[in-house]
Amino acid sequence: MRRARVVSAALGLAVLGATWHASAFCLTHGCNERKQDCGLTSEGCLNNGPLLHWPSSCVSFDVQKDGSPLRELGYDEAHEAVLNGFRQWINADCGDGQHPDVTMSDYGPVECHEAEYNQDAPNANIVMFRDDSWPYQNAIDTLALTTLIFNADTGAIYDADVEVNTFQAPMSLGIVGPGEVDFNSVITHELGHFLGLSHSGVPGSTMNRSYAPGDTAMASIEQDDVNGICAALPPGRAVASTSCEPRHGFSTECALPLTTCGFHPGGAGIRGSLLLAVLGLSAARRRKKPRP
Amino acid sequence: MLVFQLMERRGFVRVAAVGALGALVGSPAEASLGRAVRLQELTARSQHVVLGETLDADSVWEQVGRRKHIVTYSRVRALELLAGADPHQDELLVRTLGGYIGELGELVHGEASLAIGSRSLLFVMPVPNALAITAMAQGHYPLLRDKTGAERLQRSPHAAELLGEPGAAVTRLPGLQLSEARSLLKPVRK
Repeated sequence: MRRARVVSAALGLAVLGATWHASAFCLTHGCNERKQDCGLTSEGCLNNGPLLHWPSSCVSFDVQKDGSPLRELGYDEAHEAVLNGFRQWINADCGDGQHPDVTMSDYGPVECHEAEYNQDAPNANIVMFRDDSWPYQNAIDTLALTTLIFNADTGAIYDADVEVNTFQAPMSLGIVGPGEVDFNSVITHELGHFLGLSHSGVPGSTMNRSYAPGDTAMASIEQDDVNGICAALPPGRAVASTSCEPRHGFSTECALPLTTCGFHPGGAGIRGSLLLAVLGLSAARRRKKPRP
Repeated sequence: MLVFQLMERRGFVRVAAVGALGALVGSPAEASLGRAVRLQELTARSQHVVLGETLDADSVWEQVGRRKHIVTYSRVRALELLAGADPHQDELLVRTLGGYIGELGELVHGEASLAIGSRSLLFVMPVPNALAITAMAQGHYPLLRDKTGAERLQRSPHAAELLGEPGAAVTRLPGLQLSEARSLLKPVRK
């Protein structure tokens, strides 16, 4: 029923331009409280400061290779959920058969499970799982965090990482029992942040901040979300490049740890890169086949 | 040509040597999905509930978990204690995730950001060497004048609506005048 509502609403997108500004989605702005007024608009959005955006038409992403053993959420399941989440966002109907102007490139499993941005070393945009601890305050209130690294002047996003609080939240896939947290809902919401959306005040929208345990409705995007993603990544937008590569290149591994954490940069990474290269070759061959 | 499909790109992986010695300076912006915190719980989890004025702030790189992030330390003058323990000092040091250093910025959607010169109702709890906002932006309510000149609490810029949670602090406090907030907090004081 919910899906049917979304489809029928999407059919009316011919007047999107007129309705975007009246809806309640918010784009993400990097307002600096020390330099400017960061008050809210009447729609409840923070609109001062540069608009955070992906400067390239292609963005890569990765999923932590371990998944979440604590919640019995394997890599394959987690990866599929991430793919489904991205598919919804990038296939949103922006009207006239157009979609958000971005391509998501799947770089596969990665060793690294730290939210980090390396200014002089390769990076990766990772969905990772926090099974052992939650490194921030307020663990019991937070289901997941998305970290965006951006240029403070232009708003160009340099890096994005999604941390899922599997340590505290009883994350589940498929049948979600009372008190459990639907991973599909959480990841679809966080991927909206990854792509440049902020929170929405519209009840039932995926980008609403509040989540009720057991609820699965946020797993499918609503009209307000469609309007938001089409505004964040409008069809035909100006882009700086078409490269999918993370800033300073790609690495499956974290940079050197600041503290002892039991992983060893080097050996595992080489094996990982060989595996990825093999997988990638087959993918490249598939792509060379002529398409009908 | 625009492509709107997910594509695999594993074949072009060039894993760079992970020998970047200490090249770990990052600048994240974070966004959260969370649960609404009821006013009573927010108060109970806070060491102090104060009306404060932000005097100045400074952002630094700091290790959070195992990685460095930008955090901001704000110096806040405590104007009035509304609930919780007396801080026994006129100024509080409040630490929030995110901030700006050089060309890089970190924004935390679910986190409070204290504007310099602003007055806010703050629910704070202790962290090493400072205080943090309890429940992130759910514990931060800037005071702004409305059209009639009355000062009213406002939702923190980075806290979204928390609909369907009538008991949530972020639902109950915005729009109230400070005197009304005092009355509301009185029964839930520790």
